[in-house]
Amino acid sequence: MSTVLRYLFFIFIVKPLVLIGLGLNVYNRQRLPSKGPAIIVANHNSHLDTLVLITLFPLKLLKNIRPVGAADYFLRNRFLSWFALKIIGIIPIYREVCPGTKRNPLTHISAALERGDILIFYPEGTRGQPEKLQSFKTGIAHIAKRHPQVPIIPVFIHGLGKVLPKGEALLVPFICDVVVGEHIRWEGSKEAFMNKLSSTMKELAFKISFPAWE
Amino acid sequence: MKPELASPNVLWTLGSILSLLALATVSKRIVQRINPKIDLSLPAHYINTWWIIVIPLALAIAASKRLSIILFAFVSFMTLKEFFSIIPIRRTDRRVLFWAYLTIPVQYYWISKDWFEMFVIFIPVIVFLILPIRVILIGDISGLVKTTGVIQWGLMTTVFGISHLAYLLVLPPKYNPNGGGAGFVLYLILLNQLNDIAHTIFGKVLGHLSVFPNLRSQKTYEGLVFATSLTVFLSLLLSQVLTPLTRIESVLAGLVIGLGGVIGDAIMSGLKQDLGIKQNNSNEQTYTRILDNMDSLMYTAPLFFYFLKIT
Repeated sequence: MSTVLRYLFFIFIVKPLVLIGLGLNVYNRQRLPSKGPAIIVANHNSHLDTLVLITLFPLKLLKNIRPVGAADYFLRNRFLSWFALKIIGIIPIYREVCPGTKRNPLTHISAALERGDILIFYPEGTRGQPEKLQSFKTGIAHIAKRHPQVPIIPVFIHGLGKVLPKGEALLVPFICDVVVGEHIRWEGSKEAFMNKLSSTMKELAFKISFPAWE
Repeated sequence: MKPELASPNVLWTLGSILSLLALATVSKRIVQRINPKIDLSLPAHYINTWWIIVIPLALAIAASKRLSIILFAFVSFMTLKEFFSIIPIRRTDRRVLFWAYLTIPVQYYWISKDWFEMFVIFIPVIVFLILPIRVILIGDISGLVKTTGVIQWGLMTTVFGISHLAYLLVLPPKYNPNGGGAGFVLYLILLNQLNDIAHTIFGKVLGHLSVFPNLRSQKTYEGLVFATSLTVFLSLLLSQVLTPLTRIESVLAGLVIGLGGVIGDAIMSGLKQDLGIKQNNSNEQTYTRILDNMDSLMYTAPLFFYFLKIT
């Protein structure tokens, strides 16, 4: 039932909203993976980021696409957690490891990668100031180290922070840019990997010229 | 379904354009097959543009009156969105832009009700007076004039300008026994687009003396003379089929559409140049796919509309 709803939601609401209501300029679309396992790493400015990234993939991959979202935010009430888990299909991640529990916060992520899913991951940890790139948290490095064979595809998104920034409910249409980077892999050390990831992200941001947003 | 807005003359013209376009597409393919080295990017660009213009136009003409209005409102929305995506704006302007989008359904509502006075004053007067209030209510006063100025520019061209095409299209047949409102629209769009092409070609072949030396857009005096003459000539031919205009009126209409198109194109180029956006005629990624093709039309549509009104 919720699978059907998920498809209906993406076909009749998300796709028209993203492709007609907003409009996308996608650079280097061919670099997107055509099958899992893979990790999409993107900057995060808006709830719409996830919907846009999912729209980039063909519908037949929808069942394999799993955005990684904060459990404390998305599972805070019953409706939201149903929507996040069943319709968007998130993998909840616990941002703060509770003392006393031995559980590894990345268990679900590893399991999904082993199933061949495509994960969407926001290393900034939360939606930042609109259109400002924040420093990345190192959780992604742990995942990369555990799964060195999984390609990590950096994607830079611009414009959605204008469309629907954090703390706003009013959606204002703008055409948005999505720049797909070449995939990177685990480089042997956490620092090297994180440096590579942030420098790739900054290069992608340079690819597009966007109007001022003061 | 019987088309409400199409007369036989309009359907014949539309059919001829579609067949010519199909012929052009096929011959382009053949030329490319025979000699892959020939650079066909310019004709290919025009053929593509024409398909993009003619298909929605054919739909709008074939559809019911209400659907045609919705279709043109949608074109306004897409164009305004492109415009808002290239202008520099302030964070606090989001709500102002939202209001600006809301003018689209209102403006097209006046057309559906055939309320001419509101149609004319709504964007140039009412919206012009109201938009700054929204900015003042938000309270970010520094930059007020710039913000409202840029937004008003966008609304005047993409909403006010384009809506004149819709109003022309749904005009009752009594104004144009030859082709109805659709005849006027087809006549205007054909002349406008052919005028654009003529400028590009004549400007390339025999142009040296630039009309607007500070603009990147290439318009030359030689091109201006030849293209305008061609447009006036075509106007004389087409007006027989599609409009009730007399000889002298067709010559004047050709001049209005030809020269208006040049001015519109120049002003929109200047606007984009000012905003630092390069003009893009390739298939490269660009924000302004529709805007680039509509810029001269957004100007000539109101010009031609009021030309008809006073003649």
